[in-house]
Amino acid sequence: MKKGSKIILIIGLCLFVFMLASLLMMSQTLQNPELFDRYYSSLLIFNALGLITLVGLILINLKRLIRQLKNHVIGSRMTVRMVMIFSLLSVTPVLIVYSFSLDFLHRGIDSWFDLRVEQALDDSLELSRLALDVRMRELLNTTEKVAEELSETTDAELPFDIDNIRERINANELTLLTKKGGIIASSSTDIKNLVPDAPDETILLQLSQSNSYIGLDVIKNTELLIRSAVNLPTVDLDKEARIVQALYPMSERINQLTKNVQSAYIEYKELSYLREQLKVSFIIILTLVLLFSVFSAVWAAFYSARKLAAPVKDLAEGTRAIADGDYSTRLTVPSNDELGFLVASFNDMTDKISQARDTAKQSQHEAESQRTYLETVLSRLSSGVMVINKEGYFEKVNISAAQILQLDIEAFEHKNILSLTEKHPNLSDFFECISINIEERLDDWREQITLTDKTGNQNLIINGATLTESDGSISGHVIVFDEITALIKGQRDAAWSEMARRLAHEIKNPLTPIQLAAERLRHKYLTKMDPADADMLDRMTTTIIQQVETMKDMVNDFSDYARSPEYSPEEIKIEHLIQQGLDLFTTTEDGNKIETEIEANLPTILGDEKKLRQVFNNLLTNAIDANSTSDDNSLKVSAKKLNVDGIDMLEIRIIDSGLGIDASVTNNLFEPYITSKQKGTGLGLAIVKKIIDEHSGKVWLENNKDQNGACAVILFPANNSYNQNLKSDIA
Amino acid sequence: MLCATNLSFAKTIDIESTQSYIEDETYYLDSLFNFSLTEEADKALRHGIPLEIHIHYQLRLKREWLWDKTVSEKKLIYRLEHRPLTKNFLTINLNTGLRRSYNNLVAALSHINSISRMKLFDQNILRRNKTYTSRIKTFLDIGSLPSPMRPQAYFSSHWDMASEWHEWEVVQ
Repeated sequence: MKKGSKIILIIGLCLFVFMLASLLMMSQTLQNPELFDRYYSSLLIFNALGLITLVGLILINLKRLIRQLKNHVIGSRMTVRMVMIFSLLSVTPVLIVYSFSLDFLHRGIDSWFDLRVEQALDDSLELSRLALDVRMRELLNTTEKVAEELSETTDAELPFDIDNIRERINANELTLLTKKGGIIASSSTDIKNLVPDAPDETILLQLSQSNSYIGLDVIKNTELLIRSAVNLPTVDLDKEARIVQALYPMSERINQLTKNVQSAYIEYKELSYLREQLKVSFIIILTLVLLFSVFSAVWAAFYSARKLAAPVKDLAEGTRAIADGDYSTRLTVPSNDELGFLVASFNDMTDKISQARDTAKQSQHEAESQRTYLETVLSRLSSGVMVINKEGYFEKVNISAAQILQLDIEAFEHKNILSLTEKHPNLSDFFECISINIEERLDDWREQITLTDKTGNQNLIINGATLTESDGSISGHVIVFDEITALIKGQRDAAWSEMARRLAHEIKNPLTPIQLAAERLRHKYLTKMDPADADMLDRMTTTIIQQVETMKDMVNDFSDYARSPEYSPEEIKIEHLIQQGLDLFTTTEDGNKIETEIEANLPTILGDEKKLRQVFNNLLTNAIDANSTSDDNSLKVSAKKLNVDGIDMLEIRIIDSGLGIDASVTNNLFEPYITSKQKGTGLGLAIVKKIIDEHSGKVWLENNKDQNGACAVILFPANNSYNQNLKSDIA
Repeated sequence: MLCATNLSFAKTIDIESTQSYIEDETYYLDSLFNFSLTEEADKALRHGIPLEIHIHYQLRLKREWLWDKTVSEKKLIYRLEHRPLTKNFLTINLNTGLRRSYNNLVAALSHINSISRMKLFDQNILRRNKTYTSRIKTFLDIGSLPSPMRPQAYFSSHWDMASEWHEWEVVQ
């Protein structure tokens, strides 16, 4: 609980206790008139101030609640509802009790007063007056007699006579006065009382208008006396008019009775007069109690509602925090009741969620690490790896797979086998092989296929396995494949090299003796023979020698093919090489129309000039040979810069106008002993291919689309970085 | 020395005249009030409710920068009662205990309204070169009414029976 709230609570509780005590005291004062007179006003003020404070507390709570409602604070609506319910539940019975109490109060106070009692009191008072009237008339007669007696008394005799007369008539005091109230002579039973009780102006006025006055009076003490005053009969006109006043005591019994009657009458009259005020007072007290109860109940309702709503509010905020991903929220358990149990359960739940989250995070981290590890391994694998789900879509494809298939890795995203087959017909054999094996539901399979494109054959070995779930169902397939073109080619090249080397070795050795023998035969017998035989011998030996020379050339070619590469890499301007090659053929008179289209500022390449010169010689020779088979002798050589997959390449095209490439040899053009020419060893293109491969280039032959003839295409890597790589590779 | 003032304005309860004088180095006051009861107060009196009428006198020292200081004050309290048996009205001077009975209310109020020779203060409490004022007022003490009547009397104009302060300068 906040400090401010605690202080307000303490103030409220203290106020409640004080007000309760004050109301109890007020109730006590109602029983005791003395206490009522003494404390009523102060208690009333205190309670009014207490009520104002309570109202203030309620207003503070109300303001806070309204502010919370406006700010959509969690739990505020619930608090409003509870405050309303609590207030209604507490206020309703109090109001009912208040209503009935008011009714009873009115009836109760009214029942104190009865008309008959009032009449009886009036009658008793009247009776008392009548009883006293008789006595007063007697005393008035006595006073009148005293007045006559005194009128005959001289002033000198007065001091003596007045005492005697007072004693005779049993008066307490007898005074002779002038008309204006001046005392002439007086006699009293109380010798200490030097000043007689003179009649007041109203009595004197009455005496001036009539002859006598008689009345009940209370003088000095509380005892009732009868005051009787009479004008003295005028005897001497010169003398000032005089008054005699006698104060007669009442008997003690009469005094007591009149006192009782009077005080009872006064009390009843006072009560009767105060009836409405009393009602108001009781109603005020009752209303104070009502307001105190209502306000206390409303304030308690605010407090209780807030107290009850607090754990719910905490729970809601905690839930929101969890929804926002904050699992560190811990709520204070408010009590040992059901709400406390709920909050404790919430804390347990938060703990468990937090633990589960940590575990999940750890697992996710581990899975991420595994995935990264796997991706790293896959990306570094030279083998192509593809994961295909059971619907045939590619889920994972590594870089090597894309590189082997000469596709972008993005080409596999959200694609299935069928769509890729349609999009890339050159890969149809590959995807069909996979599809067939997947459809046959082979758990583990292995296939070797050859893909053919314009650059040649591509040999792939494909391994496939089925991925299964824990319940045995198929979740997908993993395909691992390797390009074994280089391997096969290497094996084949090695075999051919070995064969060429052996062939050269076995054939070359006997050729020289054959040639020498033929030359000796020619030299020894040509001159000795008759012309006809000599001519035959000459032709035969010449043929032998020529064939031996041809065989020697052939053996040298084999030898060259089999010879291991000896590179001396240097920076070469390819346009110079092309020009040098063309120069050889432009000097001949075979009628070829040679056209060149070489871009300016071509990048250089890194290579062995001698070998590359051989490449161009071979290809130009082939082109010119091809042209010789047709009527059109045009030959076009072009060179330009290309950018293939972000790498600068140099493309050289040698386009002839011969008969083109026979379809039967298309796939094997660069293998040794494959030739469509009548002359030749069939090693020319094989050597070209070998040299180009050694220079990390590509070479292929294709038939022209728009015209007769074929085109030899060579691609060299040209950018500096690649040259650097090549240099380092060769080194 | 004599100092007298006359008030001519009409009010239910007011002070008609005041007269202060010195005798034997003591200040005395004669004053005439016009204190009459409202209908509600008259009714209450005739129903046995005693009424207390206060006459409040203050001697105040005039101060330039501060509020005036009350140097001396006197209170004269009369209780007015009705006696149903004798139909008289009784005035009791609560300062002296002196009771006077009157057969009508006017006479009783006349007695209260007329103050004669009320001792105020000794002359020696006055300092030279200082200015003093006297003031007097009369009022019905609601606090002396029975408790049930008080809440209503505090807020009711029927029970608002008080004169204004009547003030005059004291001549030394």
